[in-house]
Amino acid sequence: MTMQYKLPQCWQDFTDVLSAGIDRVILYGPPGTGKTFAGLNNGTDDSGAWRLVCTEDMTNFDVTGGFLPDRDGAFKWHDGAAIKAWRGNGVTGGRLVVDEIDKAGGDVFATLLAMTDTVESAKWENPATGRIENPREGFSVVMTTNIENMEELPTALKDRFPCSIRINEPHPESLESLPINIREYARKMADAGDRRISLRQFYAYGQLNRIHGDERAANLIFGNRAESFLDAIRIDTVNSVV
Amino acid sequence: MSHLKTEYAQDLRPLPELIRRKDGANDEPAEWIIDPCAAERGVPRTAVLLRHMVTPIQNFDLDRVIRAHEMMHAKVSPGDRRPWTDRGIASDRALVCAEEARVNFLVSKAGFDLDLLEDGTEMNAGERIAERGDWAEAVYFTACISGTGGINKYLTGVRRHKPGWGPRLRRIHQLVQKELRRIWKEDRTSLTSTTTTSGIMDPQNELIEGFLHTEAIAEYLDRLADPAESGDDEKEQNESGKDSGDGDGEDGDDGEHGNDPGKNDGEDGDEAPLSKQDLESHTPNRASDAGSWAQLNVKTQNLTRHVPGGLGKRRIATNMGRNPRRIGRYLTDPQKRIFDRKVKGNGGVVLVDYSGSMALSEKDVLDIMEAAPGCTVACYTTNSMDKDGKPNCWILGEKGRMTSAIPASRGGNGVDYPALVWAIQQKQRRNAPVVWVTDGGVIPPHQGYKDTLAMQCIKTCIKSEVLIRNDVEDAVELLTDLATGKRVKQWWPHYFRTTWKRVTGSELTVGT
Repeated sequence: MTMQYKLPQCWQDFTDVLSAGIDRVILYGPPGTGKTFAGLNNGTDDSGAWRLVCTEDMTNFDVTGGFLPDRDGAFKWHDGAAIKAWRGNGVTGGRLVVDEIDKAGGDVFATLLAMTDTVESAKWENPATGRIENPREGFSVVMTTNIENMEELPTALKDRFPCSIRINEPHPESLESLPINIREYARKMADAGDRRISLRQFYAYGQLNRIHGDERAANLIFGNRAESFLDAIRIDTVNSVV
Repeated sequence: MSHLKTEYAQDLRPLPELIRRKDGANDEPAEWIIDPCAAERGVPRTAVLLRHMVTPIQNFDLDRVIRAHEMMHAKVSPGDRRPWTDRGIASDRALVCAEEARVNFLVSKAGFDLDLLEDGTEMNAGERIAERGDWAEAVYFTACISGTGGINKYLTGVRRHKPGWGPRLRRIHQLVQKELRRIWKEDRTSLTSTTTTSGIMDPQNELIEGFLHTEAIAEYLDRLADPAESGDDEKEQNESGKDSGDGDGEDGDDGEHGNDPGKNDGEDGDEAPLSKQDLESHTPNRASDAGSWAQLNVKTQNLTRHVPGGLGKRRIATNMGRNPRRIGRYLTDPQKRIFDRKVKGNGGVVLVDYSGSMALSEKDVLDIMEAAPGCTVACYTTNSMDKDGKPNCWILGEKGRMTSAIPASRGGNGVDYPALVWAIQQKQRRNAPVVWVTDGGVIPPHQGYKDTLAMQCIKTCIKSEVLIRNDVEDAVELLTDLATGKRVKQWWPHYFRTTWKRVTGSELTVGT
């Protein structure tokens, strides 16, 4: 059964921005709120979405592509996520979701800047065919990061992403698989700073709770915070005391 | 050492982030600041709007109950007490103590052992309060620790200096608990509700439903704390021997020797200022009786007409002047005060209830204005359809000028108390009279007559010596008497007398 819910302001902002045609968006905020999921699924239709998870050790192979040996011993070109997203479904460009771009090394970062430039400015020569490629119309980029201060992002990157939205609570759809009595708690703990309890912990708690009961589930999932967690729920549900 | 670390030095910060409310506070996901403190009375605290909690965080049973207490504040207490103190129904101290009683009661209902909630200072507090003879604080503190493990020690401390206070305070504790149990039994959701009465999500300025119960208990505590003000000194003295018989085990073994209200004369200084009969005659108001007034919007009419004279303005004899009006005094007055000079009147304020129940015509209002020269004259009326900002109180006369344009009555009252407070603030001098022309049918918008709101008006009238009359003829007569310096008597409308009797069990006397 699907519940009727009111879309939280942050998610409403994201929907509004996409529907207005903004194609470069940064989603930032606490982890586990569904930023990447939303980037991959919201407003992508059938043009497809490709994901890049940036680390210091990644290379441009993941971004633009590279040669890999095939079974005949020859080398064959394999496109990276950015090029696939540029092409989309062949008619319209797809969606590139870049996780933690701030963690990418200098080389990859520079390439990503080039790949996320405007459709008019972005150009890339395919080393295998020598063909010049451009992003197709409709190409969009959603960048996600856990950093809280947007000033920490490099200026060139900020310049390419005029719109940034702080996602401070999970998408209501992602809460629907939780038991109804802990959904609101999961929502409220998503942005509790150092005291945050992740959505994944709530999923595990909900599952364990069904089989082993409140106390054991809380001890297994929340450790020495179990007592505080259970006490808070006792206080919060004081009305339902028999 | 490692054992100690595991056993006692754990960081058991509570999780107020999880608490759900319905007034808009704590709704957005955000981190609370939790500062550790010692497990001592008066140190832990919770600021819902600032998301700040100061509470003990160690692994002791007492610490855990204190954490539960603070968490309950985060769950049910208002974000800001100012809108409640502004209502003037109960004092701030009473609100704080009644809220402690409600929170402690709910903590016990949530399954925490409140017997643990004592820090060892209760007996000293009881001794200190009793030694100073501070009955009001004794009552408030009783409510504050009612239901906790410290109540017996506190009462023991009180009895060391004021043996007669013990039974009364214990009974107050029992009555507060009885009232909370009644509310819990009848409507537990309402006792913990943080839904705003207006439906507007503004935790800083809006009233929340659950705290209406706290306010009702606080108003009750105020009456018990100050029995003289609530008219108990005028109570008939023939009710001795009457027992409430509600089976609460009242007075227990606290050494009550009898019910003789004559003991209440305070001769030996040890008897409680409140007799047993008086205590039993007081009842807490119901939260459902609480309402709220509309916002007062005052408009000054065009004051085009000059009204000569002034209330209380008169001539007195003097030995300087130009026109010897009192020539006869030349022979009789040793100081030869044959002239006279004008002395300014005290001024005054006349507030007219212009609602439908008063059935005043424009002529009636003009008659009142003409009988009150030099006074500030205002009338008020509103109805349920009025929107915020629409005038509902009109200044009809001020500083010797009056209007000839009397607004039409809009049927309802709506702003009786705010208008009364406003009228008192308009007094030109400290001893200027305030006359309120009303039938006492004080009714807030969208609701019926409420005892709590009527009590609010009555207390204000008593405190500020507001004179009430309910028709034009009496009001004009009163104003004439005031103008001539005659002594005037207070009179209370039937509504107020009934409310007072219902709430305090005593008569609202007509006096000077």
